[in-house]
Amino acid sequence: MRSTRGPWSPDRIPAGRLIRDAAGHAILGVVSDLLPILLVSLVAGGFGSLVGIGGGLILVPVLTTLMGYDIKIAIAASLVGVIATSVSASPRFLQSGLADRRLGVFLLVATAAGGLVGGVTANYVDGRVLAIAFGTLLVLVSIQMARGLRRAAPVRAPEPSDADGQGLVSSYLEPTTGERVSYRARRLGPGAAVSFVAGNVSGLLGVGGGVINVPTMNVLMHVPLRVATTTSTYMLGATAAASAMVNAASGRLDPLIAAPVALGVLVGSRLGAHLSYRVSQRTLRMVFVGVALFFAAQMFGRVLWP
Amino acid sequence: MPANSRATRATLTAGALLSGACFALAILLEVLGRPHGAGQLTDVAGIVRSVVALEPWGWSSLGVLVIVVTPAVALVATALEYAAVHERRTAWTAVAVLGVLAVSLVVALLR
Repeated sequence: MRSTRGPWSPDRIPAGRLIRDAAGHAILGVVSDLLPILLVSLVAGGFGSLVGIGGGLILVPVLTTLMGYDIKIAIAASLVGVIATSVSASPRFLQSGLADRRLGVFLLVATAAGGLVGGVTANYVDGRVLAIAFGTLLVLVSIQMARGLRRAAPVRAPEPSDADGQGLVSSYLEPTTGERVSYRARRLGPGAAVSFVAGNVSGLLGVGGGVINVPTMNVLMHVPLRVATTTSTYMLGATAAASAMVNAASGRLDPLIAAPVALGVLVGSRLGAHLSYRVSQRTLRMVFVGVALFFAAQMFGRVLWP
Repeated sequence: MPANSRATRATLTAGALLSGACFALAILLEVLGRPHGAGQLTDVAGIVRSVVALEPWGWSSLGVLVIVVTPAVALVATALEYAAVHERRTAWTAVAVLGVLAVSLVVALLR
C-alpha cells in the first residue's frame, strides 16, 4: 500500500501508523495515530456543528501539519468527516425546526454541483497550491469571524406566501427567547451562485462549505444566523458526498484514516448540536480565530520553508 | 401544511448509527491487531470479502460507503415528504440534487 504520510509528498514515508511494513503487515499505532485522530475529530465535529462549518477547517490542518499526512489524503478523509457532521447533527436541527430544509434543498443543487467540480479539479492541483489556498481560506474566515457575522433583522410579521417568487418565507422558534421569528430568504439566484463556489471550495479543500454558505445566507439572503448555521450543517452532507465519491474513485480516500475521523466527528457533532443552545457564539468565534490563524501560519510555513 | 421531516431524520440517524458501528468495529479490529486488508472502494466484492474476513479496511470501507450514501437516501425521503404535502417544487428540487449526486457517481466510476 502506498504511503499516506508526508505533508505534501506522497512518496515520503516517515515513521507512523496506518501504513504497512516491509512484510505487508499493518503497523498499529493506537497512541500515535488512532487516538489523536479520534480526539481531534471529536473536537472538530463538535466545533463544526456549533458554528456550521463542518470541521474540515480543523481536520485538514491537523492531519497535515501536526500528523504529517499528505494534504490530498487529509482532504479526502476530511470530506467523510464533513458528511459525518451533517448526518449526525441534522436530525436534531430538523426536529427543532431550526434548519430551513426548503432553503437548504434549493441551495444544494448549486453546492452539490460545485462539490462535484471541486472533487474533479482537486486531482489536477498541486499539494502546495492546495496548502496555500487552504491557508488563505483560514485567514479570510478568521477575519470574517473576528469582525462578527452581521445578524439580519428578523421580520416580525410573516409574509402570507412565497408564491410571488421574491424569496422563501419561513419561521423558527428562537430557543433563547421562546419567540417565533419569521424571515424571508431573499436573493435566491445570487445566493445559489455563491453556493456553487462554496461547493467547489468544499470539494477542492475538504471543508464543508459552511464558511461561505453561512455568511451568504446571513448577509446576502437575510436569513437569521441561527437558521443559516443549522441549514448549512444540513447541506454539508450532500455537498461533501458529491466530491467524496470522486475522491474515493481516485484512490485518495483511505478508509483506514477516514474511520477514526468519521467516528470522532459523528460523536463530536452530536455533542455540538446539543451544546449549540448554550454556548456563546462570541466565545466560539474567538477560539476559532486563534486556532485558524495558528494553522494558517503552519500551512504557509510548510510550503515556504519545507 | 409544512412537510414532515420524520423520514429524513430517521434516515440520517440510521445512517449515522450504522456507519458509526462500522467505524467503531474497524477501529476495534485495528486495536486487536487484525491484518488491515486493502483494496479499492469501488470494488464492492473486495469490500465484502474484507468484511467477512474481519479486516479493518473492509469495515472502514463499509462505513465510508454507508455514510456517503446516507445524504442521498435522506434526499429521497425529503422528496417523498414534500411530494406528500403537494409541495412539488421542493420535491423536484430534491430530485435535481439527487441527479447531481448521480452524475458524481458516474464521473467517479468512469475515472
